[in-house]
Amino acid sequence: MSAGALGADRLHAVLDAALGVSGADDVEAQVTRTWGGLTRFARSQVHQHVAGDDSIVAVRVVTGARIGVASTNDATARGAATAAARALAAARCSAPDPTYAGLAGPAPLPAVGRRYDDDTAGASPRRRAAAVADLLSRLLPGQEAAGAVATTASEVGLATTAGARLHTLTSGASASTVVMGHGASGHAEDAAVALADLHPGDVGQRAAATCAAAVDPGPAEPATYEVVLLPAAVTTLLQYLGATTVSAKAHAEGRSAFCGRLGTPVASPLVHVADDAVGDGALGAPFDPEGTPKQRVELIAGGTAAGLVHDRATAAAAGVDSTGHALAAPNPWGPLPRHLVMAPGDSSIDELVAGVERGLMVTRFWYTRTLNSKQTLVTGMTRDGTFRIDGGQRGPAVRNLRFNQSILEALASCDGVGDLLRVAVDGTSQTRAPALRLRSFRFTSVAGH
Amino acid sequence: MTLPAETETLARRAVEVAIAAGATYADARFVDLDEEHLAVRNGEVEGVGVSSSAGVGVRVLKHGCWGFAATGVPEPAQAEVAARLAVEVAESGQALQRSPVRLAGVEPVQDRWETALAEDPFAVPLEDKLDLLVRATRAMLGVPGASVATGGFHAWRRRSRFVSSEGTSVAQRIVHCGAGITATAVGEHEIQTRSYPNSFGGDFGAEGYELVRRLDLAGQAPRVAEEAVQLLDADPCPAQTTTLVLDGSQVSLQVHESIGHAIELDRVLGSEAAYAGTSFLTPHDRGRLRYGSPLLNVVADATTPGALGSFGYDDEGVAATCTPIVTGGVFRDFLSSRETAAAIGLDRSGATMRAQSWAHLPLIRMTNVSLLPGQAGSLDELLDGVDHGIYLETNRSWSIDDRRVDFQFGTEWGREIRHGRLGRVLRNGTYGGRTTSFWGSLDALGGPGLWKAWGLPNCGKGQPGQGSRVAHGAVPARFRDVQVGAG
Repeated sequence: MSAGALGADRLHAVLDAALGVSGADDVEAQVTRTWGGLTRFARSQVHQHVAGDDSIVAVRVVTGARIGVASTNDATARGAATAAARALAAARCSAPDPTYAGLAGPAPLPAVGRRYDDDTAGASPRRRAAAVADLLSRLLPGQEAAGAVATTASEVGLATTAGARLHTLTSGASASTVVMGHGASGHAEDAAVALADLHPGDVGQRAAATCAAAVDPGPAEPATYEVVLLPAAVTTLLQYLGATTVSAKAHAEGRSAFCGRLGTPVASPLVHVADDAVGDGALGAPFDPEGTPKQRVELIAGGTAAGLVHDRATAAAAGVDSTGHALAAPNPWGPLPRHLVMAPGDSSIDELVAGVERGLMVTRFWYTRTLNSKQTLVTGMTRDGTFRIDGGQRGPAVRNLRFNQSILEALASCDGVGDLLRVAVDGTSQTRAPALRLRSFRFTSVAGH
Repeated sequence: MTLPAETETLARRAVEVAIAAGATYADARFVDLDEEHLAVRNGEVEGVGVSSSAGVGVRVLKHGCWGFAATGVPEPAQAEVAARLAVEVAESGQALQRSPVRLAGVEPVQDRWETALAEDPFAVPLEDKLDLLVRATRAMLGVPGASVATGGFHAWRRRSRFVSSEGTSVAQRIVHCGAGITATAVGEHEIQTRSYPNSFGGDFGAEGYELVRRLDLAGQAPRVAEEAVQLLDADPCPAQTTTLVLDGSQVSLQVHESIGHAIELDRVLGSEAAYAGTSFLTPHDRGRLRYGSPLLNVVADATTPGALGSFGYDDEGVAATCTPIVTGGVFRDFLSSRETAAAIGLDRSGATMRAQSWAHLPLIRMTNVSLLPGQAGSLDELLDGVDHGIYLETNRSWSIDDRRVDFQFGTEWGREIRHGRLGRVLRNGTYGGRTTSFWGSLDALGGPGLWKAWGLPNCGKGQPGQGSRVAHGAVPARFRDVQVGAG
């Protein structure tokens, strides 16, 4: 038995107690067990160090197309049966859902690479503290760091009265840091299935180098610049594009920038964006909370708006199959991409910079928010290392700037793509992004510090 | 209050096991959470969800290092395992500890506290709550041009028992609820949403269902939808430096982002640098820094009746209090914990430590960080004398840098101000500025009759991320020479 795992049989025994609720037409039940810990550090010392375990049984019950959802962390058969009864009671108070499309039946899961590492699932607090020490050892004199190293494991079982019976084990390890010193800061992060494949020392070294280069930031005028966005900054743009534009629900309601533009150019031909939870490098479970196997979906192919992500309700309305992008019920947001990946190009960072006569290089964005989803217009600040580019060379640091920019318009001006993907994780979402060179990016003000 | 006596035995046992394992301080929180979330879209029920979660979190100090462990199985054996694991976690951080944690003192207390309710929101039949949302969304969808109409109701009940090795034992029952509606109109290149009574899901409080009944969602629905449709053809807000008048809900978010987060002492001391960020404030600024105009008076008051950030005791067992934050425009004090208070030489915590659940470590969180009212008896009084200006209402976007200095906010609804009166409707209004200079430009505030505590149910902080429900008392306010533009 793997560290902490109960196994498919024991989880399905719990789920069967939910599926057996009397009076329901359809029942979908999922049990999610999570365990692990997080070692958080600031001022280069550990200050919040946590460990724990929990289980959630979530039950969706349907009666007469009326739907109720209940969850509990009492992951016993009795707890699951109680949750099912509560979900049924909620369903009986509800009204028929015209978008209900039935439950997932049995379907083969896609072949995926390694998603679970026993060593990571059983990692001790001392192992995480050692990873933090490794990260901190790469700091330069006068620098301090804040960040976190986390190890997690998850075991998921899912069953429906339509015949789906799924089980998976996953693990993850991540390290992220902001290194500060001499009035500057730098950021780096990494994530992997296994703690052994995580490189906290490299994370510390990259952030420390950026911090060292970012000292004494000078002024910069708000203007439209050519930019090189490093992968963390591109990650933010992809996440906001994914949240506003590629959901079939947003598209059906006319809220998406892809409305009327599927099959037409929306970005540079160099831009290829997909949602891919099944390919190499992806983390997490290979099925969604409705029990649909996850599919790779091409969202932007060679600059053309190529596709949308679906759950069972949007797929039924559109007459297509679900792509496995449901969120846990109840879900007013509709399907969303959780494993965005942009295809790498063939340029190093230096080569991207060499193509800019006068511009800016941005390490990451901060506090980005949507201003107009239909135009993919967002605002935010730069953070943790913003640099001038002069004559094809990275120059001195500049103060942080605020941007107001349409993501699709920015991607339309892309003329260079980095050759290295960096991974960022946020809860159960994962984004893999390269650096990009964009010919036009609008900055509207400069920070006062 | 229905909290079994066994929960005290359970928490006390976890504390005893931690002390026996070498901890110099320990506390344990048993927490039992219930939630109810209803969503209606375009007159159809979209989601009915109920959830429950119970567990125990154990926090310890050993060799001056924190350790925390939690279990979702709130039984004696598992609580003991969590207590020992918390001590192991604390021990493992010792090699990376440079300065041991010290705690400001607190008088041990045995007490209980609960939210005052007129009508328990969990006892109101689901059918009644759904019917209200269905009627409201159908009324919005009946307005020509309205494309999407949503309504939501949310309720949370938290029963907790806190026990510490210093002799404190506190039981609490806290109930929150609230509701709201939105209407969205979609044009070829524009999408406009109006929310009522506020964005972020509506308005919320530490009250019963009487709060929801007061909102009159169905009655307000047609106006909300009409305004969304009207915005599609409205002129964009012109870019200019001008006089800005904000409604109370937008002022509450301005307080949240540019005061509430900036005064969190853990951010000031660097604990949140990697995620939420830091602050432009330093401990040296207490009593010295001019935060805004002399009209600016702000308190952090966790005792405000009915406000979403009110409680009896925080998750360190410290009694709720009211702390002056800004007085006459001068910065007075931070939001603090026992650890951070001691770190800057204070003798008492500000009682702001809260955790999302039993599984989370308490962090410094806003309580009810509220702007105190001024003199203007009405919005018209604020507009009086404004020859040219902009009025903005209801937040739509919010963005501020990691030190809480440079901000830009977008709003749903704008009006031109001409000769002291509201004029044409404006869309996509934004404004920006820098925290202390913006608050320095404050030159008029609504009076006590316009003051309201706005509940925000979604304040995020920490790693792992935690959500918190907070509130901000606010009034409409007027600011001079603000950069306004179209987002």
